[in-house]
Amino acid sequence: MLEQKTVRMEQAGYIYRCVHRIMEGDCQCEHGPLYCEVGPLEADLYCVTNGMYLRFINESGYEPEDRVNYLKHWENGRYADEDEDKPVVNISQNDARAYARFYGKRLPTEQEWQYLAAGPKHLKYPWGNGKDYSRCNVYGKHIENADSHPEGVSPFGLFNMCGNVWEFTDEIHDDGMHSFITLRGGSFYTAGNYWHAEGGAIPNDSHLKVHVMSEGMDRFETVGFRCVREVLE
Amino acid sequence: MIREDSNGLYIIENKSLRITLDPAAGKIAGLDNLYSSDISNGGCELFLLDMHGKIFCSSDFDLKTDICSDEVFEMLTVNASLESELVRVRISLINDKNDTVSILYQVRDDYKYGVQTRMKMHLPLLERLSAGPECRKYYPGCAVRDRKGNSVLVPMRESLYSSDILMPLVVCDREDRYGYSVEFPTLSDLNNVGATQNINKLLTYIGSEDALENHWVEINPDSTFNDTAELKITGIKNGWAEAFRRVRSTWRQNYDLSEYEREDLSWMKKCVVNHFAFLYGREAFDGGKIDVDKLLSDGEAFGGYDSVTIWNQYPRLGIDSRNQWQFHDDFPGGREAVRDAVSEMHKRGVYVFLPYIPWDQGINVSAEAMSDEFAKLVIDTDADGYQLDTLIEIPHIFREKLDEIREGLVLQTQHHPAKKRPTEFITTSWDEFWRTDPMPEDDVFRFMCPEHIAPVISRWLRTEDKTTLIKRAEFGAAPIVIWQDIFGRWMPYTDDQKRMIRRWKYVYLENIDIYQGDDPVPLMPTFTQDLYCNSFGNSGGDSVILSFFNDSDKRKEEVSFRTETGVKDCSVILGEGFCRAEGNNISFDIGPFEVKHILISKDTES
Repeated sequence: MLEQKTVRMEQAGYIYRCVHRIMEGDCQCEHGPLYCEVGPLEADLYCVTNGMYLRFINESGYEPEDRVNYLKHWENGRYADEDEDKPVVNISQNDARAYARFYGKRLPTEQEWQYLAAGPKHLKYPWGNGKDYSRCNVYGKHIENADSHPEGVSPFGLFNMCGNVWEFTDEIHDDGMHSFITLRGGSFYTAGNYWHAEGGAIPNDSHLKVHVMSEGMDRFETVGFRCVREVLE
Repeated sequence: MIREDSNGLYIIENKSLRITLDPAAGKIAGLDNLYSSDISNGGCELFLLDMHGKIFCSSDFDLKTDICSDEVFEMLTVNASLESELVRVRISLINDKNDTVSILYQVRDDYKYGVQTRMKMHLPLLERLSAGPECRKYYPGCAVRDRKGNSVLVPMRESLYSSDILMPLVVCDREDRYGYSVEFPTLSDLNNVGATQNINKLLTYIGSEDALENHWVEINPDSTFNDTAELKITGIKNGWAEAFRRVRSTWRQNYDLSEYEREDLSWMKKCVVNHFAFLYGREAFDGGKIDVDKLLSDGEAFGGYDSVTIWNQYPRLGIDSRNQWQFHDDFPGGREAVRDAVSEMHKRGVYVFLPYIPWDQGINVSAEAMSDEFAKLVIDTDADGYQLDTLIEIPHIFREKLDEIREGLVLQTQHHPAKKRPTEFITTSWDEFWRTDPMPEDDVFRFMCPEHIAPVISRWLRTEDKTTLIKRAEFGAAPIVIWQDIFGRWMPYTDDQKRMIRRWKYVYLENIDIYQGDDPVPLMPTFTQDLYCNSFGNSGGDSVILSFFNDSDKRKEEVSFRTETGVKDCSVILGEGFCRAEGNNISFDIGPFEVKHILISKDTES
């Protein structure tokens, strides 16, 4: 079973700017440009896998109140053997937060996630500025292992920050009338129509707004997560 | 009657028209409106053709003339042949022996160069048509233009395929009474050059005097005689209103509108304030469920919602493989929760539309399979119909599947259905537009097919524009869609606007039979600058409502308006102030940018 590894990201400042390509309704949150400081952090190299998540359940006894779609790809409380090292999906942002909290971690903020993916040089994709999609899992048919595509790691060595599965970030926005979260990185899946939410290879500086409604609605087959731990100096 | 006079001229005559043809010269020698001795037109070529690098006129052709008749029609045919270019034109003047003569042009190209070559046609009759000094013209592509230059009568949605609703060219005297109506009948609704032999659709794009004078329309003849252009000409005596009624009648003759007579679908006719509920916002969803009580209580400020469209998929669809049907399964509480909300709305007299996302289907999904899912969702939720999103058509099997469930299930599209068959069975659609200054503006479909209920909506309008949106609904006497949460952007109405809508709903329902009558006419002539008028009523009815809009920042006082009939009584039912009746005229004041509705009781004895 793949074990999580972390990398240290020292404190750094950068000019954060995020864009998006979403359908109607647009995105009501701060997108920069603004100067921000991130770190120091320890960041997971991999998205949390099915194997890691099962261990979390066993160790924590975590049980969500609303189980709709919760780990719906598992059977009898366990994933298929071949899925052990694939990122866990069909979990909500709250499920992901519970995991992170149990291990003294949290989800990365958008600013942290973007810096971890793009590094100080503002790379367009984790591996560089070129559109070399052979370095990631996009336009594929299924999720790959969390440690696949070592040739596509980010400047900090994080795996699969583009494609494979979307990743939750820590924020939840509320404008008084709606709550929404933002996803990062894209996924292997691309829906068929112009009006569908986009998938595939999403650049480091782009996010996808997703309105939240309920745990069941908000557990996706294509969204996973990784964690960070704040380093106290 | 067709006769040949002593000068060898042919004269075609009915009760409204006299057309004189000079067969030797290949010209129309005269066109007269027989209702008025003042209105006549001089001679012009029958046609011009631009082909093979040169312009030819009808007099360049060898011409032969024939006359024939049957019980209904009489016909004068001019066979024009130009041997050097291997082109023939057959012009048939078909007299209905009543009030209309159709001039049908059929061009046959026997391919001088072995293949089709480019040809353009000009019809001088259109260009020359006049009804005397200061005559008024309503161009088919733009009947009335406002002071900003915008067309006030908005055509049906135009794209590669489009509607067969085509406006006439109307030329009438300065009083808007005597003149001519030229309809361009065609069943073809394709508008790309080259697709069809009949170019009438392209002729209806003529929207100005310049375009009329210089129209050279590409034609697409083959090596047989087929319809190239057709001018259905009538002498009129009641101006634009008469011409509009005629073109509406022509259009409706081709449509089976019996679906609109279904009693079980008629509930939509009383839905004035229709709400669009984006379920990812707290306007309609709170505490883990559709908050029906809050939603409908908020709706009271608008006069109460009559229907609600629930929307819980787009723009979230596509992040993973879950489809629109699964979104209902995953909805908090599943389909049962949707059913509970529908039930709660039904108890409060509110109808519910479900969302249908036509583009969210796999590549191998058949219409049969989709329509099964479509029907099942209605069974599971007991909703009252579907909002069909971007569709302008849907296979009829969807209608059939709904009818198998129960009566009363209504189909509604986001845009007006365009094709004939969908128009016949999709009985309601939004009148959706995108302009931010949509006044003065009329939706032509509302006047061509008044039984098709089309609530007005423009989703992105901001506060000031929303007032204009309400005025557009009032001016066109249409219901409205209240959409405040546009996929996550909260754009509410102000309290004043809610009051306007509440008032409009009250007035609309109080006079619903007149507003939904079978004889609405857009843009009645007002002879007052920046003043526009629509007329609503029933043919043969004893009341009519005139809807006025003052498109200026100046108050207009003592406006006088000539009605079509005598006036027994009149009263302002929407707007401020009084009105007075004098014979066939009414007079009233109207404030800046005000919409005013005046109810008129006709003096049927006058």
